[in-house]
This record gives sequence, C-alpha cells and structure tokens, in this order.
Amino acid sequence: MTVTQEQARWFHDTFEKLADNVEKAVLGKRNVIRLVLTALLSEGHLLLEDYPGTGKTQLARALANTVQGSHARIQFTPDLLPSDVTGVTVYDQGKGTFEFHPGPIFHSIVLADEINRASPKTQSALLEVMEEGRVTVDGATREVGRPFMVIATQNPIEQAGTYRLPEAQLDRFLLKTSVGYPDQNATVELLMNSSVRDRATLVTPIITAPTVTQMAEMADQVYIDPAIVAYVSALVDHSRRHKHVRLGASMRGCLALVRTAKVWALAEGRSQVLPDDVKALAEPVLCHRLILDPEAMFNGVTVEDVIGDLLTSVPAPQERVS
Amino acid sequence: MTKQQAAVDGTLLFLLGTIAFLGFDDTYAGWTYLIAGVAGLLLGILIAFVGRGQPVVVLAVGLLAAFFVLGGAVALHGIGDLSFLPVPDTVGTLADNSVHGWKRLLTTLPPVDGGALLTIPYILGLLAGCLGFAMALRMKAALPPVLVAFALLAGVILLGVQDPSKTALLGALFGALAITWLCIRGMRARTLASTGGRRLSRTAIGAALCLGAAGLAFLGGPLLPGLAPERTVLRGEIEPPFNVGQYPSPLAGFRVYTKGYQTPEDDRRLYEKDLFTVSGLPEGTRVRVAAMDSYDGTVWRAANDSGVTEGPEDTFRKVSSTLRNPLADGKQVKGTITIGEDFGGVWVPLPTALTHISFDGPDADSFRYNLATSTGVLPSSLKPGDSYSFTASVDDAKVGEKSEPWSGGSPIGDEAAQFQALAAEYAGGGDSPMTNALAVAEKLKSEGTYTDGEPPNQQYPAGHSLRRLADFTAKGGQLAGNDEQYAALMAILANQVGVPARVVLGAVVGSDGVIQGKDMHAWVELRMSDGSWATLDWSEFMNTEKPPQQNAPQPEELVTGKVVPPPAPVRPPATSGDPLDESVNQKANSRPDGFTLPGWLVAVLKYVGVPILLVAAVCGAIIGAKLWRRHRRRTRGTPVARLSGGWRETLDNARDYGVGVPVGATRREQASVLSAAPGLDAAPGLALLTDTTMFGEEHPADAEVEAFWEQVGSLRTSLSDSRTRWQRIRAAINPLSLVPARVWRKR
Repeated sequence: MTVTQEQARWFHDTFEKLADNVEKAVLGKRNVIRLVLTALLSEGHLLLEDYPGTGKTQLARALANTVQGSHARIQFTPDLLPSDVTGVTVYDQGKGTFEFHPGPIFHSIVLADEINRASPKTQSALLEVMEEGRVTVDGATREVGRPFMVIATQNPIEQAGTYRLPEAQLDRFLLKTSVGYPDQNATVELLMNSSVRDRATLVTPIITAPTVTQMAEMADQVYIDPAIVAYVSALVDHSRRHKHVRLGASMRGCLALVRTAKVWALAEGRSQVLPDDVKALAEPVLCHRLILDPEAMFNGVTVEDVIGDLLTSVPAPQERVS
Repeated sequence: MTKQQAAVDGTLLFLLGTIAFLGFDDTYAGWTYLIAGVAGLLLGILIAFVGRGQPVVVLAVGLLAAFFVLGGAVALHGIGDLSFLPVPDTVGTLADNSVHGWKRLLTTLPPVDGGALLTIPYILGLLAGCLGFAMALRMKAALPPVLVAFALLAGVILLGVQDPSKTALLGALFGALAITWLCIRGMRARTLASTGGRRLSRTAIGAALCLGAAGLAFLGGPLLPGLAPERTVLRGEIEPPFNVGQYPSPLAGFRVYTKGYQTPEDDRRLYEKDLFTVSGLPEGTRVRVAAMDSYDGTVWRAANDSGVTEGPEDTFRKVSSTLRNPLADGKQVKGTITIGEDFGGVWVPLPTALTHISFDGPDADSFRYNLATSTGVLPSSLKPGDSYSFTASVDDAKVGEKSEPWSGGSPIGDEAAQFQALAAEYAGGGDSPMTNALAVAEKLKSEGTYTDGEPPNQQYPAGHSLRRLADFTAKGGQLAGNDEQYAALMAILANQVGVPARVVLGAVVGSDGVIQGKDMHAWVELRMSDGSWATLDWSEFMNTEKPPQQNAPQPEELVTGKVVPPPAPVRPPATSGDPLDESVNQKANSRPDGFTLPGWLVAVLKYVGVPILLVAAVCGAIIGAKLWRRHRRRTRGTPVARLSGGWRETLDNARDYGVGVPVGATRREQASVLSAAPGLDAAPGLALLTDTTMFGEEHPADAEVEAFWEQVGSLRTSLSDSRTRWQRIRAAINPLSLVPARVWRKR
C-alpha cells in the first residue's frame, strides 16, 4: 500500500498548519520548525543544541503545546536521579502493596531541558525508553505509549558541571539541530511584542496524538526508490571512510535518514522520496553521529564541513533503478 | 588580467612567433611556410583564449581538433584534390607528418618545397601559440610565456639550415621584442610604489635600454669571443638513411645498349630503341645517367661518399623542386625528358648542375640528387611515359694539356694499384699528371680496338673487373672492348698517374633529342685544380672504328693471379610496364575552352573560400551532432532514459549559452542555479517534474515522457528568446556541450 497523491496533499497541508502554529512561538525559524516536526512525525527524538537564549525551550514547549496530548518538562540537574525520570515504586501502607508512581517520562512529549547537566547514570535512564518506548522499573516493564518523543536541549558553551552525552545516547536522537539567533525582522517583531512573557502559551493544540501516530504510519508508506536508498548507503559508507572521521555514521543513522526523508517528502506533498530530501536532512541526521579525528578537529575541521564534503563527493542519483 | 593586457600579450606573442618563423626562410622555398606557421600561431592563441579557465585537457582537445580539422586547409591544400578537407587521407597525412615529417624535413636538401612538410611550422605555431598564450593568461610570472617564444625560436633554428641569412636582424628584433614583453609582464607582476610621471619615466628608460641593448647585440654580437664557429642545427647531426650502393652499377650493364649485344630476347637489345626523349636542351648537351666515382675491383659504382672532402656534398639527398646548386654557374637551360618504353630503373637522366626539377608522373617524393656527381636517382623507378622538366646550368668543360689536376687525392683506393706500372708505361714519362693522363688516352685510342663481343669476338666478354681489365691489357694481346672497358680502364689509369677521375654513363643530345641505345656512351671526368670536373670524351680514348684482329697473338701472362669474382649481376633496364595511355595523356593535356576564372579570384577562393567552407562545415557538423543527440535522447531507450535525456538536453542547452551547473548535484539544485539565468525561470518546475516522474513508484509512461519533452522544448524556446541573435548563433555552434560531462569539473 502506497501513499496516494491526495493523502500526500493532506499531509502537506497538515504539516504546514503545524509549522504555522509552532511559528507563533518561534519567529523566523521555519526550517528548524520543519525539522522538529519531521522528528515528531518520524517518531524520533530531537536534540536541540544552542547557546542560551536562542529559543530552544520555547520551541520544545511550542511543539508540545501544538499536540493535544500529555507533555512534561524535566529540568536536568546534577542531583537528578534516574527514578526522578522514570518513576518510582512506593509502598502504600494503607493498602499494604507497592504502587508505581510514573515519572515524567510517561508523557507523549517530554522536554529534557539541559540534558547534559544530569549525571551519566540519569542520562542513561533514557536509553531504553528512547529506543524501545518502554521503561523497566523494579523488574516491571511499562509502555510509554504513542506518540512518544523526547526533546532534549543542551548548551554547547558551558562545560563546567556538565556531562557530555555518550555516543550511544547521542545515536538515539533522530535529529540534532540548533535554533540560532533570530534574524533582524524576527527580532524586531519579538521586541515589539515584549509584553508576551511566554510565547509558547500562544500555541494551542491543533492536532491530536492519534493523528500524529496516523501521520507517522502514513509516512512509513512513502515510496523510496532503490537508487536513493543506495545513495543513502553510499553517503553513510563514505562517512566511515572519510579521512577526517574517526567514527562514521551507524546503521541507526542510515535508517534515520530514510525515515526522516520519507516524512520530508510527504511534508512537501510528494508521495516519493527525492535525492534532495536526503541532502536536506543529511546534516541534522548525521552531524551528532560522526566523531572527527582529533587532528582534524585541531585543524578547525567541523562535522558540517565533513558532511558538506560527503554531499559534494557522492554524486546524487539521476536515474531510478529500472 | 584585463582584456587590454591579454591583447598586448597576444600581439607580442604573435609578433615573436612570426619573427621566429622567418628563420625558416632559407629552409623552405617560397613563403607558404610563413602562412602555415602564422596560421598555427593564431589558431593556438585563439584556442588558449577560448579555453581560458578550462582544464588543460580542453586545450589539448582543441589543439588536436584544430590540427586535424584545419590542418589540411592550412598545410596540405596544395597537394591533392580534397586535401584541404579533413578526409581520411588528409588526417592520415597530417598524422604521418606529425611523426615522421621532422625527419623528412631534416633529411631533405633545403630549400624544401611546402607540401606536406608545411605541417611542421603549423604544429610549431599551434603549440607555441596555445602554450604561450595560455601561460600568459594563467600565470602571473613574467618569464614562462616569453620562454615559450624562445623555445619556438630554438626549434626553428634547430630545424633550419646552418648558414641562414638575416640572422642578426631577426635575432635583434626578436630579442628586443622579448625583452619588451618581459618588462611589460614584469611591471604587471609587481605593484609599483608610485604611478604617474615616475612610472612613465621608468617605462621610457626601460624601452630606451631595450633598444640600446638590441642595437648593441645587432652590431657587436657577431664580434663577441667564444662564439661557436658553426651554427648547431639538427640537420648536421642526422645521417641520411639513403644508400645508393644498393643499386647495381649501370656501367656493368652497358652491353645491352650496344649493337653487338648477344641475347635471344629481342626486346632486351636496346641498340636501336628509344630510351628517352630530350626536349629543350641544346644539341650536344651531355645527359648523365650515372656517375661512378668508386671502384672496388669489380665494378665502378656510384658511392654514397667517395671520400672527397671538399666541394659539394657527395651524398644522395632528398631534394625539393628547387635546389641551391653551387655548381650552377654556367648557362641556364630548361628542358624536359620523357622516358621511352625501353628505359627504366632508378637512374634519372639529367644534365649537369640541376637547379630545378618537377616530375609529371613518378613519385617525386623519393627523388634524390647528388650535388657532387650531378646525378639523380628515383628509388621508386622511372616508368615508360614518365616525364620531368628541369632547369640546369650546363657547362661542358673540356680537358686541356695545360689544365692542372686536383691534388686533393684520388676517389679510388688501392684496389687498382696493380695498374701502376701499366699507367706509367702508357703515360711515357710526361712532365705533368695531366700530360700523362692525356698520353694514356692517346695510347688507348691508338692501340685499342672496338668490339661488343659479337661473333666472332666472343672471347672478349663484358665486365670491367680487375681480371677482365687485366686480360684487356695483357702483354702480347690486344686491347679489345667497348665503352665499358675503355672508360673503366681510362679512369683507373688516370687515377694512377695522379689525376682524379670517374666514369660517367650518359648520352649526348642529338638534333632530334631522341636518345637510343646506340647513343649511350661512357666517358671519363677528370677533376681540375679548382675542384670542378672536366670531360674526357670517349672519342679521346676509344677508337670505335677499329675491330680486333682475329689472328692476334695470345697474351703472354696475366697481370694478376688474383681470383676476381665475376661482375655483379646487372639487371637490364626495365622494359616492362604499361604502354603510355594516349587517351589519358590527351585528356591531361587538353584544356577547357570555356570560361576560366581570373587568377586572383582563384587565389582568393583558394585561401579564403576554402577556410570559410571548412569553418562552415565544422559549424554544420556541430549543429548536426546536437540535433542528432536531441533526436536520440527523445526517441531511443526506455522511458526512464528518455526522461533523463530530456533533463540532460536542458543542461546542455544551458551550457551552450554559458550557464553551467555543478556536477553531482541533484536536479533541483541544478535547476536553482539555472533559474538565475534569463529564460530559465521554469527550470525548477521541470526539474521537479523530472524527479517526481523518475523516482515515483510507477514507471513513467510514454505519454508522460512525451509531455515532458514538450516542456523541454518550451524551456529551450524560452531560453533562446531571452538572448540576442548573436548569442543564439554562438550557442548553436558552441561545441562544449558535446564534450562528455565527466571531462568538466563544471557543466
């Protein structure tokens, strides 16, 4: 079963409405919003990394607000315990039984603010739930339900008192992006409406959680030609053999690129993936999965440079596989 | 680099190249070499200009294309009906001359006719023009392009002659221009601290210094110590590969011309058969078939080098139609020789001191001439009906008693030393070598008898080996033989008495100009003190009227006991071959009676019309190739291939208009680049249509592909409409899009 053109058009319209809605909170960041929505509709998790005051939290909260479902915010601190995230089993003296008190992770959209401030032990509490959508506490496994999305933020500047996310944890984020400072027009508009203390409150829910799940399932049906799959494979393969890369993209990264490309294609109203979709998503999907050679880093080479080089050196497919 | 700077560089390179090519003035006959060289230079500069910013491989492709497509018109237009077109023969000739032409040029006696050897200046011009101008455009350093001009000059010098004219003038001009160019480029390369008057004064001082240096070099250069006494040229280092010794001595086969020649085959008896016909030469002129200046004990034969160290070069060299002959100081005559049905072989009958020759029939390319012996050979052999015209300086100097002989040595070695005593006996103790030589001649004439070996004189065989000559002169016997023995012995004895001598086979032109076998004779030439050769006619040493006596006493002893091998087998002159086709001859000689174009118009059409036609043909070929490519992309292959072809067609159309896109990009990325150019606004839509159809789940249908091609056509029309007429023409004939995309870094 494939996606029809009418379904693609509906998906596109819905996607644009969601983007418009979120944009009420984050002005002038249409492409970032589209990436965030792509992560949501791919049923993946998003890592927002940027300087303080760029609107990371606003964006995450706006996204949570636009979906009519439960959402929670966890402020990660060094003394945060895993049980503070996943929940805890408490003995009820009245009933004489142990009762599970679910943590904030049991919401559809979870905002993990400043995730790198928590200890690795607490960060690792997210591993299972982010990959498998369930939590195991005291030997009991509990599903978190669908949709489920973790939006984590972190600050790249402050190093003191932070714990760098382990590679396994990073690999579980579908996309990583940054918001960036608003442009001149957006800045002026924000200042003109400075009376609005919390712009995320301007975002009202316009889509239900089941609809999000339905859209994600629709995206799975988007056709992707083997030529484009081969292109994705070639990109990832080249990332592993690049002279400046110590660790290339994983198979999870490969899958992420295909899944997000499908959503991106539908968001543009197409029922088939094009090489442009892959190119558009290569950087946010792969940038946190590559580890550069220390010498290259010392010489000022960035992950973005390497991905740009990959996209230039691997020719995009021009013809389908007959 | 600005356009003005490029124009200055191009002009100076062109001037330097032209001056360098003038160094070929003594190497080539006429001025066609200059046209070929300058045309190559201009084309090279043009290729470098058009290909600026492109990879070097593009320049190489352009050079190859210019060489093979226009090479026929520039260098070969005069040597065949279709040689000005890049037909297979022309391309083959160009390729052959690009490899072997250098050797041919160096082994041909200058001045060289144009012909296929014009390929050499054309190649030099192309390479120097393209390389020099490309360096000028691409490099900031002042020196590299000037070095290319110097390399061209060095090439011309190496391929030229040892004693060229106007060297000082051309060298001074070249040096002055080269220094000027160097200064101009040097000024560009560095940022001057000041401008205005100071810069002007610097320029003026620099120019004055250049002119002063050039003048000083012109006047004082030849006087500088340490200069090499001789110019170093490749021509002097190359050994001519031709060996005349491979051909049998024509003197050994002399008997076929005689009346008494004994053979059962009538057609080999040439006594009364027409060998060749001479026209234009005065009666009594000697026509030489071969001059034999070496004796090896068996035969007199023509040698590659008889050991004579002074005078004209004694080797058979390739020559062009015009020769610079140092012996040509006598009366200039023009004549024509037509070969008869019973003459052939490699030896070309000619008078002395040839200065010009043109062949009508035989392959003139193989003709070789020996300036020292004034004889020519045609390795491809003369055939009945062959004809050639010539200009020569005929000066038949006769030997006199007071003539002083050459004292620089004998052309023969010790092979005939056994005749020393006989020579002294015949000479009778004269007071000078020349007197002795004439006494020998007189002795031979007075005591000798003449026979061709006809019955009853079969005991007097042919040949002039040591044994035969020993028999000929044995004591108690009688001298009996014909031209072969008498001339051979006379030349040997003359050398023994101190007068260098050689044997010449030929004939004296009669009143009707027809040379028959009976007109063929062998005479002797004696070398005079001034290095010239004087004729000792056969009548001076041979009495043809006196037959041998039949009851003559037997010879007492042989002069030598040495066993001498028989004469080398001699192939008689060829008599086979097709008779002259009269119809063809008449056809060739006939002239149209109708309207003929004026000469100037023919020249203009030849030198202007042909290149224009060629350029038009090239343009037509490019346009045709593009139309064929478009048709093929639209109609051949699967729908997917046709769909992809439609987009490639769009890219190629844009490329023809100078709009390139990055290689390896997606179609939409390419389209976003295209859409910035006028007339290509619809490119993104077309790219999206291509991609969605291409990468959709369903294979594209034929109707979809056809509709897509309609959009390709609309975009092409839109692009064309947005440009001027001149831009459209340039795009139509722009060949860059025909080069495979992988060659380009950017399409």
